[in-house]
Amino acid sequence: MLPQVTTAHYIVLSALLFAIGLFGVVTRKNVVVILMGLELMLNAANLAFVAFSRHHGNLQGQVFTFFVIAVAAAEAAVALSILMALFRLKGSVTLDDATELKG
Amino acid sequence: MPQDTLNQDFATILVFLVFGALFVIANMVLVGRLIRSKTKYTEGKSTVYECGEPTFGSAFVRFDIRFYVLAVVFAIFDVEVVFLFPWAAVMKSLGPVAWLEAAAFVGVLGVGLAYIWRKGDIDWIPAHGHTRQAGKTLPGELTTVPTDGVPAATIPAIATPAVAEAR
Amino acid sequence: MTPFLPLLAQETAKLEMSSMPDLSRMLPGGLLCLMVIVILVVDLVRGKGPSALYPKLSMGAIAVAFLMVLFGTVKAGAVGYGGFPSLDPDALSRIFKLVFLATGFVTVLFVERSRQAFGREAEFHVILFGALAGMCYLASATEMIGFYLAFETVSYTGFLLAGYKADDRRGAEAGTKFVMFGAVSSAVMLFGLSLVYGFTGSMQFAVIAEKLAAAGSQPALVLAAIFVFGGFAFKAAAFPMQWWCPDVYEGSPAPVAAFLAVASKAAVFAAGLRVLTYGGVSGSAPALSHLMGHDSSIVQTILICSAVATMTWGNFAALRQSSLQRMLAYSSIAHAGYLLMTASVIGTDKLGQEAMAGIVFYFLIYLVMNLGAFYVVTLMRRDAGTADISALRGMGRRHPVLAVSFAIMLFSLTGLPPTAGFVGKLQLFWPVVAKGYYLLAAVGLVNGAVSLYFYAKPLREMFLAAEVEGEETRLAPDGVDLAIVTAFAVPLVILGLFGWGNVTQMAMDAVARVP
Repeated sequence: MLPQVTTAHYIVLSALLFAIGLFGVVTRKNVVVILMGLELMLNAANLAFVAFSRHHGNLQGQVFTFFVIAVAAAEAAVALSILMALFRLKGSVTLDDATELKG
Repeated sequence: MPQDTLNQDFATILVFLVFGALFVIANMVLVGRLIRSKTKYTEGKSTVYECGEPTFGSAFVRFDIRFYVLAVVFAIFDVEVVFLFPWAAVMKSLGPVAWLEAAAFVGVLGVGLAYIWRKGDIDWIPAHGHTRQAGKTLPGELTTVPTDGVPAATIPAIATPAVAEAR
Repeated sequence: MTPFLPLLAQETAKLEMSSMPDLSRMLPGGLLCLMVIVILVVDLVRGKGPSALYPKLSMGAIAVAFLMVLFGTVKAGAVGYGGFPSLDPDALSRIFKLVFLATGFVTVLFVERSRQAFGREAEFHVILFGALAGMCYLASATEMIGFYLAFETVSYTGFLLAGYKADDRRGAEAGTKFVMFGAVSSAVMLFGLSLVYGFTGSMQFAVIAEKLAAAGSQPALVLAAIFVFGGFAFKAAAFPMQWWCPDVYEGSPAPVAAFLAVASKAAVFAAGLRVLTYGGVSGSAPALSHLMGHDSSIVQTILICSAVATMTWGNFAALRQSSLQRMLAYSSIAHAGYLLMTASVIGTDKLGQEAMAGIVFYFLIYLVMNLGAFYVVTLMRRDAGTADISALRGMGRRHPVLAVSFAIMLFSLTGLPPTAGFVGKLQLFWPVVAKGYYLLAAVGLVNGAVSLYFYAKPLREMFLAAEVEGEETRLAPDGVDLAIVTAFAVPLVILGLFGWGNVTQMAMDAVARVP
């Protein structure tokens, strides 16, 4: 018999996803790839919410997940549109090239 | 959870892992040797495809920026539907107030759609900012190049990088 | 582990039984949301692009909302659907709403005065109203979902405002950096929230506070607290999430930077105060004070560490700035540090309440002095095309009114006696000292002394530096500009000399929530 999947399994998976996402965000220079990492982090939180929702037997976590999905889409839209502006001006989407402002 | 149950559970996984690995290795080394053809290695074997179109250029070309605009707009409207599913599941029992609220929600989305429509962001050929150059084709557009034996309209033009660059 | 559909039916039944929430108590926020749609529709119907109509429209609407908040009655108790109270428009949120709306109004005014074209585009005002609505919600949210949504609304509108001038390289870069930092920190915060939910099984702050008090300190909770603080720190521009702040403030237009520096920061502090004291100040539920107590104090440790790092980093980095706009960004970071320092002693006792009132009071002053200073930057960018401090040279002789007013604002930002800034700083430091955190207060004071040096830089340029022939200051303020600057400077002096008792009382009333 296979082991029963408990809430803890979900949380471990979610923590792993979060860590992978964070790793991608921290190590990558290309903004589009960073956005992918972010998406992973948000979905890790989603997974945790749904797992906890099931664990506690109330719907609030699932409801939160719906909102997070919408927020993630908005985030992608906002980030991509600002990124497009940067790309038009600089011809590059790496953070290393964003060096106009410093001091 | 008692320790031995836990061990048993992990034993199951171990067995699966071992069998999985053995299956792959056995197929590659033993069964594959019996089945695959006995022809020798040639130059042609190392090409990407032995059939179809030869590839050219790099896959990492710049896509036209309109794809991004459309994709972003699509993503937003697509994802908003997520709020309508739970509502739809219980719509009947909630009565007219919930219906009105969902209508208001869709109405707000409608204003957003009207906005981008009016601003020309979902036109394939943007209504503003970009004037089409004569003689050039836009990516994905069908051209009418007369060719022998083939109906003209079925040949998709290859997107010229020059067009994307010109924007 | 109940299946999904029966649960949904159960929740739906709850909804049916409950009546409609009291919408009249959501009116100001509702008006702001409505304005988003209204301006979009007006733009669609007109279809003609920029117009002077939009600034007027939005200033009018913000003024109406401001009056609605100012004269509306405050009733305690949360509003929400079906046994899920989600926002509490109480006295604390009211005072912060006034701060947001005043800042919004002033921002539109500044953009108009800066004579930049984007101020007349409908989109700018749509985004601004979105930001204001999000802030108003954030200040009164009592559960996690609403809190997170409002938080993200404020964030994304902030990104869009910062990157609004996308034809400008600096604007686009500011927007990109802002988005990257903001999105990462909000994702981290969200994961922290999911852990909190996992521990308590509830989204309501009140229930969470109760459960957490019972749970005591656990490793996972420490992790959750740090994660959630990451999100707060980003919006407050506090260590370790302050890196975006100088670049964004410098790269975005000066009025937008002013809006971010005041309204955005006030919004996150409003939410932070609510979270920190949940249940504690009203006395109904055991507060997070369990975590905030002197012995087991995860939150307090985080706050103190961040406060010290933030103010030190902000003040010392400000020393070598030559751009006034960038210097004000570091100054805003340093102020976040002072506020966090005071936030670390918030509690249920009298001193704890005074600390909270001190923060509220400080925001009222910070609003005036910081917006005033950013208006000077707006004028510099408009007339001289630069925010470099050297552009102020000789202003003391050429435009004495402007120079003296600006000097008052700088005095106030430093916290020198005849101004309101002194009173504000006093109220920030007093609870910290009275509670016996002498070392913390000493660090704050040393930082104040350091800040004296960089705030004096513009003063030196304005009054002392010799003018070079042919390089006179290009600032050409007209009557309206002078009136605006004076209007920001005079209250600082009046409030500093006398009459601040009333404001203090107002702040105290706001935090002592009626049960």
